Amino acid sequence: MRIKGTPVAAKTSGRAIALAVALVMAGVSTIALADDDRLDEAWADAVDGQEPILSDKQFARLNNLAFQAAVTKICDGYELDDAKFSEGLVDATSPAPEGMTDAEAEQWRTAVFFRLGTTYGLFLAEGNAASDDFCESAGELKADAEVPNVWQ
Amino acid sequence: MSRLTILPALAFAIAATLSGVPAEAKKHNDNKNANVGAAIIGGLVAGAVIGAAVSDTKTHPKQIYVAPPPPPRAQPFSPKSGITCYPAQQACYRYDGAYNSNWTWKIYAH
Repeated sequence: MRIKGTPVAAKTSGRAIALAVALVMAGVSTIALADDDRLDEAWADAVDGQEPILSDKQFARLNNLAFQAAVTKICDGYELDDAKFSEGLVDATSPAPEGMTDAEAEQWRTAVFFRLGTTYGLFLAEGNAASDDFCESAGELKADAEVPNVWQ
Repeated sequence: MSRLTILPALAFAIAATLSGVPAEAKKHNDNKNANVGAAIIGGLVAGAVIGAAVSDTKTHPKQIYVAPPPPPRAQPFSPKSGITCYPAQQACYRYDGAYNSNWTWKIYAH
């Protein structure tokens, strides 16, 4: 008959503790890891293979514009300032590639707007799936005097 | 170097569309719309190819780059506890939350 405290029970308990310690040291939590609201697979489908029609800085500024547009659809109390948005879009996409013909310029503009629309749509999806987080993030942007926004 | 390649009027029309106001500036052509539809159904990624589908050019679209082609995308990283940044998207998110404009600006857009 085996009772608590026997050598076998002690060895089993010891192994379990050792395993837990090993997991913690390896950086693996025994609690489910938190994940952000990002639609990872959708973004991979959308941007993998994206031609560098813009620089990283310009893509990021486009992201912020698309996010702010999506916020106005999902969160209460936000309206786009159309003039600020249009100026922001001009700023985000400048400078344009040099030496383009008229046809190439139209191709480039179309590609930029396609990417803007894709980004806007993905933010709408993320925001609708987790509106509390989304609107909290909007509030942080609104409150930050060092980051420009294009809301009224 | 032209700063106003994205015409302000067109940018304003985009803004109006996103804010729900009917856009005054339109540039439609049934043939171009059909080409766009075909390109999208084909699953093309945004770029010069999409642009070529809606332009009148009959030549193979030129690769239009702002800079030389970038190196392979880096892995996500954390500039600060609680923030994850994704180089492939040029975007940062809260570790357990939404897209974060503030950190996206700091890391990529500033």
